[in-house]
Amino acid sequence: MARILETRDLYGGYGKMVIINGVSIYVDRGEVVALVGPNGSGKSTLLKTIYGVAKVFKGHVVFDNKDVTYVPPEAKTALGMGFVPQTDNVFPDLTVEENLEMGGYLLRDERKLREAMEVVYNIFPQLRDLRHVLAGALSGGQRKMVAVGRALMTMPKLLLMDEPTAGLAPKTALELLDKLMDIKRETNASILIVEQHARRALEISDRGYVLVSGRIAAEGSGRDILSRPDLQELFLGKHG
Amino acid sequence: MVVNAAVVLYGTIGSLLDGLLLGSLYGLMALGLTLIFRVTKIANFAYAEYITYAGYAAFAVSSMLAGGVTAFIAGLVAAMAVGAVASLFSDELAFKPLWHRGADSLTLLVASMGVGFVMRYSLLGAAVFANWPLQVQPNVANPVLATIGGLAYVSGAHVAAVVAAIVTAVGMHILFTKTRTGKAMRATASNPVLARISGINIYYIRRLTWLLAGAIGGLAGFLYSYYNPLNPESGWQMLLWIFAAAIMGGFTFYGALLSGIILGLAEAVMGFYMSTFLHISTAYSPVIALIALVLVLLFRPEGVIRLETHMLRRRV
Amino acid sequence: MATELEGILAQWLTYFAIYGIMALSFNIEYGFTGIPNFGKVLFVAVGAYAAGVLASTLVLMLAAPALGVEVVASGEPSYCTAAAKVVFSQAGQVLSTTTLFAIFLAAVLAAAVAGAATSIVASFPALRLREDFLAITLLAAGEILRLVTWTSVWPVCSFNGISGIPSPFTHFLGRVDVLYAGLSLLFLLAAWFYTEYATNSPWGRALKAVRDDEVAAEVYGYNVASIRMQSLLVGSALAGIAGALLVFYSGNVNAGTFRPDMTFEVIAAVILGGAANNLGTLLGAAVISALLILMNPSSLDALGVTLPQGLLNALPYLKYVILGIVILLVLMYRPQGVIPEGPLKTPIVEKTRRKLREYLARVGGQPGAGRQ
Ligand SMILES: Nc1ncnc2c1ncn2[C@@H]1O[C@H](COP(=O)(O)OP(=O)(O)OP(=O)(O)O)[C@@H](O)[C@H]1O
Ligand SMILES: [Mg+2]
Repeated sequence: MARILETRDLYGGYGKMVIINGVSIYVDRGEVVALVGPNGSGKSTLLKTIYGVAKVFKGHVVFDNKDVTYVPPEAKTALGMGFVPQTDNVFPDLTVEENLEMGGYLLRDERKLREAMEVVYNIFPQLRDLRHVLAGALSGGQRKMVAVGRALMTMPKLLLMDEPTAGLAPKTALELLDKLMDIKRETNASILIVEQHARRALEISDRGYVLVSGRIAAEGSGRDILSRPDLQELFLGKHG
Repeated sequence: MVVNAAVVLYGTIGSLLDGLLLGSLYGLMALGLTLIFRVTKIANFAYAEYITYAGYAAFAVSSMLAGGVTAFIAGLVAAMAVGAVASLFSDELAFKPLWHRGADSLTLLVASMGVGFVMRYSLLGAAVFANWPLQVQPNVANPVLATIGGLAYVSGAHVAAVVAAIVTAVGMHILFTKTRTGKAMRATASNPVLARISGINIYYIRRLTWLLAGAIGGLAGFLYSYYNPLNPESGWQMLLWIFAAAIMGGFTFYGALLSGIILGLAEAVMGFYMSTFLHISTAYSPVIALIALVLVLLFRPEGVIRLETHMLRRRV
Repeated sequence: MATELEGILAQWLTYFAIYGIMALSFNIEYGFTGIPNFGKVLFVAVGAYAAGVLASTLVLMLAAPALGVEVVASGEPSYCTAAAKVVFSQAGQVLSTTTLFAIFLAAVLAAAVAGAATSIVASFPALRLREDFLAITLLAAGEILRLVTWTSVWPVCSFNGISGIPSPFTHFLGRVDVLYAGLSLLFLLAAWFYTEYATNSPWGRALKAVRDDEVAAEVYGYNVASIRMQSLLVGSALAGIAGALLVFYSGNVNAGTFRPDMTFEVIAAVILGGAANNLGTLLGAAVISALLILMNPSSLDALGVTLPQGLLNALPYLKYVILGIVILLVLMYRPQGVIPEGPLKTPIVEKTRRKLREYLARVGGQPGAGRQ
């Protein structure tokens, strides 16, 4: 099977509130898949449900041919998944370096940890200078770098990213996406990415899904979705 | 009244030594409280009872032995084990379920008072019911190591308390700043969801925290009872002192230790001077720590002696 | 048998009244305003001290000359002397019921005023500290008062306390305990009417607004600091009254009574009954006071319950074990209490929310950055 991740008729949400209503998506090995949709459509909730941070009501999540629906988040990370949440995605009371160390908590080996940290510092040179600063004291953009860097520490086979470029300067955002693509190519990782800039996301992605009110409203290659006139109306127009 | 100069001199030395002992113990106790607060954000009133239970365990185990080094070690191990287990149980049975239900810090505080009540009064009840002695002390001799002027003396307990407190504080500081597990404890406190996403088993970390904090309380309970007889309310009677040390120390480990020592010294030395020169009853000396606590909370709630920033102020 | 039952019932009703007032007072502060006044016993103690000192001083002033007893004090308060005890025990011979009642009422009033005045002390930390640290501060303040007054002869004769303060019912024959229960219940009734009225008035809504969201309350135009102070003022006055009632019930004032356990009993009553619900609070007070009364060797004896001696000895401690367990169970399984807070009858919450939203939209922030 070429599939690294698949959800089957997944229902998820918070407490008693069902937000995700029967979503079936998949990500192939080495693929970049974009998840787009209007605000509040449940993109973040879908990622959280997949990762086991939000509640699963029904359905299945399959990762690497293994049913991981009810596997807790820490074990998912050990299996080779990674997640950059949209909010609360750093440890504010830890320094930048400690944030990265926690990202590599499962590496155990000190040498591997240092290596991974070097990789991250090379992607975000700014972080090297900030490494003894508390993450809570960083700017929004710097924090985003820490958040992404933390998730990269374990070099996950599949990375779920919730708006990793939000709040970054356009140039930095594009650079980050470029670098992510480089890493992806080097490590043959797969990426499921939620992006505000739907056009940008779909352009770099192999495929895309459009989520509306917790359901998949459209899917296809990035080009297909971008060229569908009805979806342009729905939300893409905003970002031009 | 003429105050004898020698009495003052050796009295001062003696009260300094006793203050150092008592202060180290307050500091040591405050380390466990600090650990729990740092990781779980619970101002744990039940912590005092881990100390008391540990003291009783040390008494029970050492009484079965003939005394000497074996009894000392057995008592110490029993105290630390009982402290750790009592601490872990109180989390598993009360705090963790409440935390899962999203309880706020005040609810957890009230719950900890409830746990404290259950533990303290069941010990009292059991002691009365079964006619246990109400004052206990482990069956271990406390050798006098040096005598100064016939009034002041240094005993094994003095050395043990100071060494244990310093070693524990340094150990805790290293744990939190240098080790993977300690950083995971801080990460868990800082952002539990992200900690899980990072692969940290926060339940394991939590259990470890409670066990460790309880063991520290147990160690302190043993050393306290080694020096001074313990009764079922001893822990509770010291609790506000322990809080005073932890809060003055801004919930940092070195801060807690230093604050504990300052409070202990203040209590002993000022108590001595007040009774010698001003004829004020030594019964007032405990008030010193309480007043220090209230003043610190009012004017420097982030702590006086601290190494890291913790916001205890209201967010308004 | 029957009279013993009456005695227990009277004891329970008196406790219910006194604990009910304390619980209502804690409910105003904690339930309605969100101030965890874990120094409740401090204000009860202040009220009791004020009542005890005033009553004993008045009794001495009025009765000593008539009885021809000379009370000489050296360094200690005159009411702490042995001569004063003699005067107290014989005061009934020279003081009329009217006078005794006047003393009682003056003492209750003094207790209320003293309690309210002391609340200024509590309002200072209440405006500055996070909830759990506020609770610790007030608890420590209560302990300071207890330790100091236990040692110092001022104001209440250190560990001896003031004893033998004559009851307003000194001249009554028969069930004085029942009469006193009735009198206490009158005070409870008044306190209940007052709190019901106050908490359902615009003032009560202001309290809740402050509790629910200080920023919103501020935006809506409430003076948060002043409202918190007012809440403490009212709560502490009520606590003082409860302290005074306690004094005339036992005839004693003793610093040793005012342990933090008493605060915990009151907290237990409010949490059990239901915070921010006056009726629930009373229910909680009734249950807790029943527990305190029943878990008592003499009560069990009166009820004809026989227990092994060891268990009887442990009973005073077991009641606190039960209290602790009750609290934990309520927090876990019914955190809103037996009778939960009722819905607001006025749309203040909606109004506040709307105001807040408008305000935030103006300043361009996001409402309450969600944390999980
Ligand atoms: N922690 C939570 N508890 C309860 N409801 C939540 C929580 N987080 C989100 N929701 C609700 O779930 C719905 C979907 O939110 P979600 O964050 O998944 O949207 P989104 O598509 O990521 O939006 P955006 O583009 O703004 O990030 C929203 O209606 C929101 O109110
Ligand atoms: Mg989102």
